Amino acid sequence: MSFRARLLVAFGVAVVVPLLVFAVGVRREMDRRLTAEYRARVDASVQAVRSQLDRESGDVAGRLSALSSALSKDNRFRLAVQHDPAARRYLLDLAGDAMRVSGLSFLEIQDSAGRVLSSGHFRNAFDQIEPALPRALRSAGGAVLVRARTATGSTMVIARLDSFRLAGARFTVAGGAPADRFVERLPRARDLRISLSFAGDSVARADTAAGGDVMIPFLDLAAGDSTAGRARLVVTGSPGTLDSLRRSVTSWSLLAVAVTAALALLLAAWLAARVNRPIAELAKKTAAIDLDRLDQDFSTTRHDEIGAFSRLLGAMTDRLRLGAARLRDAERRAAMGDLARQVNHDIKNGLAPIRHVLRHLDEVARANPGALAGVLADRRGTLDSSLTYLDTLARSYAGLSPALRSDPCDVNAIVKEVARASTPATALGLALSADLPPAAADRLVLRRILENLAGNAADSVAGVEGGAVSVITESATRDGERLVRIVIADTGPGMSRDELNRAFDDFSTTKPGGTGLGLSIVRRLVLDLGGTLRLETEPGTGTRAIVELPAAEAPR
Amino acid sequence: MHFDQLREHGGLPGVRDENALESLARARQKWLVPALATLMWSGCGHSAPPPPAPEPPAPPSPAGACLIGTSGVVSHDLLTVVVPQQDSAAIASANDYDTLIRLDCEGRAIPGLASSWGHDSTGTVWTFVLSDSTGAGAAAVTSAWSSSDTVSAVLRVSGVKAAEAAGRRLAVTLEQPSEAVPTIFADRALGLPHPGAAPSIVVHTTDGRDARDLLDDSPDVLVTADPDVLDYASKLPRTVLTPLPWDKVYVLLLAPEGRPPADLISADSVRFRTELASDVVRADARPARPPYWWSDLSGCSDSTARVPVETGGTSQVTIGYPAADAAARSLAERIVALGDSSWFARGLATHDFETALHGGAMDAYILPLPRRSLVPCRDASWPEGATLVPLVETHRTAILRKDGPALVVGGDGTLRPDAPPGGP
Repeated sequence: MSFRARLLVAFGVAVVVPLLVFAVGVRREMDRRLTAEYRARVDASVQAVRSQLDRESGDVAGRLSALSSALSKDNRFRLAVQHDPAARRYLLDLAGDAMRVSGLSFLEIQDSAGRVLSSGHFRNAFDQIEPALPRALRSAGGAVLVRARTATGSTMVIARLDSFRLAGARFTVAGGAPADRFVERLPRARDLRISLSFAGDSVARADTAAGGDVMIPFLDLAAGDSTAGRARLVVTGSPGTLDSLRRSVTSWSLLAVAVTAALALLLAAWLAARVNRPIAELAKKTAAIDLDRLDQDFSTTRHDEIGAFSRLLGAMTDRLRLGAARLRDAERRAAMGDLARQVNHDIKNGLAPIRHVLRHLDEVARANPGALAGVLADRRGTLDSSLTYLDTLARSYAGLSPALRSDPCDVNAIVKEVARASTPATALGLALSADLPPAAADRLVLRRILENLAGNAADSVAGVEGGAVSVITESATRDGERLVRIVIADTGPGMSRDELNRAFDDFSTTKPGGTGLGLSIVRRLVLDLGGTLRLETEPGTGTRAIVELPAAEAPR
Repeated sequence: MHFDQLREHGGLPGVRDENALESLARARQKWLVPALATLMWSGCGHSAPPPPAPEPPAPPSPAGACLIGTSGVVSHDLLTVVVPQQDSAAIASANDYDTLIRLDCEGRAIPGLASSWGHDSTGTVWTFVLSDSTGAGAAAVTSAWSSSDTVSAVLRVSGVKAAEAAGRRLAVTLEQPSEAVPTIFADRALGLPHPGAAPSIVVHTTDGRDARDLLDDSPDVLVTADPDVLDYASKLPRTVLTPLPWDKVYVLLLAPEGRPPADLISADSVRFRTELASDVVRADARPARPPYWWSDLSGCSDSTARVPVETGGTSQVTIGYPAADAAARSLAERIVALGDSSWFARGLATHDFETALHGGAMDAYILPLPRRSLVPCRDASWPEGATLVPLVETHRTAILRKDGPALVVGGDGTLRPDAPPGGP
């Protein structure tokens, strides 16, 4: 896992997890508080329903009491119940008229046998026997929810019972107010619903689990049921409100987590980039270090760990540079020693005949001066031969270190010549800088260098499908010095780290049949020209050979 | 003119159920064909001039009981009459159309367009002499009769074979001899539009308002059955209450395929009807009394356009009634009260009620019927196979201004000013 990925994961976990815990905690606490508040409101509503039911019941009871009192004094009623045919119609319409006057929606006057003498809500139900109503009302002792039959259906009322005595008989007066009107008038807390439910109503039971209810006796006369059951006024809250709040909190929590996570990831990415960039730069500089290129600048103004590491690398490079100088010096000295010994040996070899001739001449001069001229003439060939040998030897040694010219060279022109000379199969792609300064170099050496590198590049892409070699020229500057940079890039297989490390060694080669001297010689030539050569390569990505030569000074 | 010719023309307004009447006529034709064949010559221009008819005797005047109004003044002024919504069409129609004869409240024929009438020795040819005050001659009558298939059908099912006009005389040939003038000629379907632009009365309906409020505006006549209104009117010094004839009978119509409460009715019919009349209907009512005009509909039973009844599949028993009729509502509610909790009453608007009745949407109906019918086959417009249980009869009461004009009470309970027919 990369450093960047680890940083991202760490930030994500460190930020998102606590936020999630916070969101869950807030949701649970909100849930608990809202439920408690809801419970309190339900309880208050239940209490209000009870109070309202008591008031409604008392109101109906008061009206029935007044009605009973009036009936007990009503002579026409007295005559009617004593079977006066003339008062019959008055009796039948009595309950209807009284019901309307008293504001009730249900009124029934019965005799002691349960016979309906007059009905307000169902005028023509007279003479029906319906004792269940007064019995249920009497046993309840208070309000009873009654579903009473009417001609067109049924009506639901909150009913009470009253009774009075007249002419030695007892009469009951059952009356009621509309249940739906009662339910509509019930005081409601916000978001609470009050509804009537009856036995067997599963939906109402489920509601009650989260609400409250007020039990009330229920008599269903419309269904012909003479047994009082139970009905309930159920107070329930709208679960939608709580659920909506929960959903809202969840949504906002998730949004907050998402936004925070996104910000955390962005921050982590920024931070990783901030940390990664100097490390990458250090890595790049470090990768460029080799014995020929120990001029990487690791100086920094940072005071953090990166700065310390950079300074450490700078110090290490300095030590490497010193070591490399010493090594070069040792190499030079070793080479000069070898050369000196060779020269010494060769000169000794060249001087030995001369020394012998001179010793012979000296002996002749002392022994026979007159023969000196003849001996000299005789030995002149030996002298000439030795001198010629020495001259040839000197010339040969001079050839070992030819004197390089340092003239302004048009690098682009040389590149074009090399390109023209290359085989068609390895045609070079050229990207030549138009304002390239001339390089201070020997034209022939430079051409040799480029031909060598271009040949290596062409060899590397041979057999690679789509392989290409390109030559790029550009001007560059390093430490204030103007340079001419020549990049020979190929799309060949590239080199491993080990191969790269051994690329400039003599006799090291990756080419079948190669001598392993090409790059070694090229590097020496480049160094002789006062330039640098470095390779940038990765397995599978090709190789870039970068030659940097000092630019020729502009004519003054 | 023969009725085959009459049928080639257009129809009269205000006559319902033309298809039913047409089918009635076709049925009657089955047995009329031989007779018509023998008489066809009279309708084809081969008939001899009608025999000189004797001058008809003077017609009777309305019975005294049928003349109401304290002043006895014959008025040509516009009368204001307030009636319940369901009675407005009948009373307006009775005043907008003139028939050959009219029936007074006791069922006696009195002059209408015809000032006198009589029959030949066979009793099959009746001659009506139209009043001089009638603008149109007898040809106008035959023309009106020939203008509608409905009228032709009514004439056929009533046994009228042919009618011929000669000046102010109209000779009508019957299939069967009749000693009394056929009451069919008092049917409004055979009437002519009242001449003159202005009607003799203006009919107002209560339109849901308290009739006592309307009574305070002193209309010439207010017709009601509401006991509260009558009680109020009886206390007003300026009004006179005159009971009108028993003109309506309420029946319980049991749908053929319904679940009728027949047991309920048959248990103690007399007592039951008496109780309905005395306790249930909040109007002047009495138990229904036979004979009933629908008792024998054999002559038209195979020809009426009866609609098959389809009852609903629910377990409820529904009894329908015209919502505007308080007596019908009370009767329906009482029957429901005597049933179990699956019985319900349902009030319907007039059109919906007729649709439900013919569509068989309910199990039973409280059906208000006229106590008399001039054309039973036409008026028996209920589904075939239905059972009719007569319940109660009712009548209304006319509340008259003491100084108001005299009125004639018709056999169907309608009112007309006691003025010459055809007058302004």
